[in-house]
Amino acid sequence: MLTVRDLTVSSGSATEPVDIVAGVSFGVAKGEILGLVGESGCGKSMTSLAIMGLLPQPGPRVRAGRVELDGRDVTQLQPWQRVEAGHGRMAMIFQEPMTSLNPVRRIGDQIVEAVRVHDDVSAAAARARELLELVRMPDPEMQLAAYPHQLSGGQRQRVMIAIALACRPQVLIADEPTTALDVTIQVQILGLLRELCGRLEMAILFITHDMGVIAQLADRVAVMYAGRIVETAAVDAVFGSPRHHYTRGLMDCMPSRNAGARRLPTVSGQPPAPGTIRAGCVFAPRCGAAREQCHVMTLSRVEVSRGHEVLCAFPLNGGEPA
Amino acid sequence: MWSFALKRAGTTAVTLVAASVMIFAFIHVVPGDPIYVLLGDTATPDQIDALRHQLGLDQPIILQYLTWAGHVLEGDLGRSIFFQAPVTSVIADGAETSILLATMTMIWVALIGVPVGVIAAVRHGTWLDQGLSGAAMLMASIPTFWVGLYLILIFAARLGWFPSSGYPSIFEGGVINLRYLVLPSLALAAPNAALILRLTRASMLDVSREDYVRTARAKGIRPWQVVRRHILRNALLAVVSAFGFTFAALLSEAVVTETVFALPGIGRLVVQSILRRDYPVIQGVILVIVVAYLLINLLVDLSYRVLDPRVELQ
Repeated sequence: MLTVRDLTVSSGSATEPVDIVAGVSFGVAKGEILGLVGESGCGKSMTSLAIMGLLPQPGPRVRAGRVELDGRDVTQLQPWQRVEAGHGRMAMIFQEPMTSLNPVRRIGDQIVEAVRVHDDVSAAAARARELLELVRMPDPEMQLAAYPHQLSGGQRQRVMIAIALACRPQVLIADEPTTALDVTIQVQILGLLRELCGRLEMAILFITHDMGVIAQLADRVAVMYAGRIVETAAVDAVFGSPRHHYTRGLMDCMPSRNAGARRLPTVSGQPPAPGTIRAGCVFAPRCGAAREQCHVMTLSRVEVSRGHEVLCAFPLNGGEPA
Repeated sequence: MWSFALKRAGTTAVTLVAASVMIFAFIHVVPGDPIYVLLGDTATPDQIDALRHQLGLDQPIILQYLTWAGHVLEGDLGRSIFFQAPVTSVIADGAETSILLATMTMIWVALIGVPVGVIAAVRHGTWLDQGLSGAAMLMASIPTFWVGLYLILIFAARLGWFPSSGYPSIFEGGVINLRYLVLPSLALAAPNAALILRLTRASMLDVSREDYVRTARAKGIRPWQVVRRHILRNALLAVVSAFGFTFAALLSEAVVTETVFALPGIGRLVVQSILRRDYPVIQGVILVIVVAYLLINLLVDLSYRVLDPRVELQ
C-alpha cells in the first residue's frame, strides 16, 4: 500500500547536501503495522514527515527517492497537493496531543474541517460524530462542542485519530503517538490503533523509540540507525533472532521482568551526527563485533531469510556472530 | 462573571484613587503659580491674595485634594483657571477631536498594518517580505511631524484634496468635517501601522511553527485556508493588546501631530494647561486619560475572552 524507495532527505546546500535520511526503503501492506524504531535523532521523524509531505520549510528536503501510495507516485507532494491529485488518502498523527489541536477552535469544527476536504458539506457534522464514536470517545455529542483544553491528553489523541480517519486513509502514519501519554492510556490507544488497522484495512507506519511498544503492536519492524534502515523483518523474527548487532543492542537495553536489579546494559557511544558519516558501516564505531573491513567496505542489504533483510557484512546468526 | 466584574471594579477604584493622589501631588510640586499666569507681573499682593483665596489655593493641600475628590465624585471636575469655564466642557471639546482622530488612525493601522503584516509573513524570506519589512522600518523611524508636514505639502498645499489644519466640530459642520482629520490620522498611522505590521508578521511566523498548524496542513486543506483558519486568529491574539495600548496612547500623546495640524486635542490641552499652571484642567484631563486607559484595558481583556476560549474571567 505504501512503498518507499531510496528516500533521501538532506539539509545543507544543493552542492554539499547533508543526508539526514540516507536511502531508506520499505513497504507497508494493507492491514499491516510496520514499526519504525530507532534512537532519537536517527531520522525516523524526518522520514515520516518526508513521506507525508510535511517537512518544515525552510528546512530539509527530499533529495532523492520515491514514495508510492497504492501504486501512485506521491513523492514531494504536500497533503493538499495529494488531495488535488486525487491521492489524498494518507493521514498522520503526532507525538504531542496537547499542542496538536488548535486551541481556539472547537473539536467539532476541527474534525468537520478534515471531513470536508473529502466529503460533501451537508453530512460533515454527522460524519464527525461517527468518527468520534469510531475512536471510542466517551460522550461524542458533547465533545464536539468542547475546546481542546477541556480534554485530557488521551482524549485529544483520540480526536487526532478521528481527524486522521476523516480521509478514510489507506495509510496512517503515527509518529510516537503514545510517547506523551500515561501508560494506561498508551495501552488503550495502541489497542485502538490495532483494532482500526484491521477494521478499516489501513497500512500503519508506527514510529517509536520503544521496542516494548513494537513487540505489543507491530507486525513487522524496520530498525533505523543514523538515517539508514539496518534491519527489516517480522516482529517474531527480530525478537527471536536479531541479525544486526545494533538491533541486538537495543533489545539488550529493554528491561525485562526477570532481570531483577541487574544494571541494564547500554549501547555505548553516540550515534554519528549527519554529515560526519564517512565510508564503511555506520554502526561500526559502536559495534562490538566490528572487523577491520567494516570501517571501509560499502554495504548492501542482505536477505538472510525470507522477508528478513539486514544491512551488515557479518550478521548475527541465532543471536551469535556468524 | 459577576465575581470578575466586582473584582475588576475594585481594582479600578484603587487604581483611580492612587492615580488621582499622584496627579495632585506632582502638580503641586512643579514650580510655578497659576496666579502669576492669570494676573501677570503687575498684580499687587492684595490682588494675589484675594484671587488665591477665591480659587481655594490658600488651603492646606490635603484639604484641597479632599475638596477636589469630593467634587469629582459628584461629576464636577471644577473650573478651569485659564478658560474660566467648567473643566468638563473644556475636556469634552478636546476629547471629541482626540477620540475621532485616534479612531480614524486605528482604522488606517488595522487596514494597513494587519493585512500587510500577514502578506509579509506568508511570503516571508522573499523580496516582497524584505521590501515590506524595510518600508515598515522606514515608516517607524521617520518622525510624525515630518510625515505630517509632507502630507500637508502634497495633499493640502499642492493638490488641495484635504484641509491643512484645524478641526471644526462635526456637531456643528456635519460629518464632512472628518476630512480635517484625514491627513493628521495618516501621519499618526504611519509609525503605528509599521509597528502593528511587524508585530503581526512576527506573531504569524511564531504561530505557523505550532504543532496544530502542522495538523491543519496534514488534513489536506489549502495553504491559504491554513493561514486564515489556523494561523491568523491565534496570531492576532498577540496583536489585540498592542491595538488597545496604541489607541490609548493616541488619545493622550498625539501632541506633536495635534500641534502640526493645529488640532484642539487632548494632548495639546495637557501641555498648554501645564504651561499655564491650570491645575483643575491638568487634574481633570489626566484623570480622564487614566479612566480611558483602564476602560481600554478592560475591553482588551474582554476581547480575549471572546477570542481565546482558554481565558476564563476570574
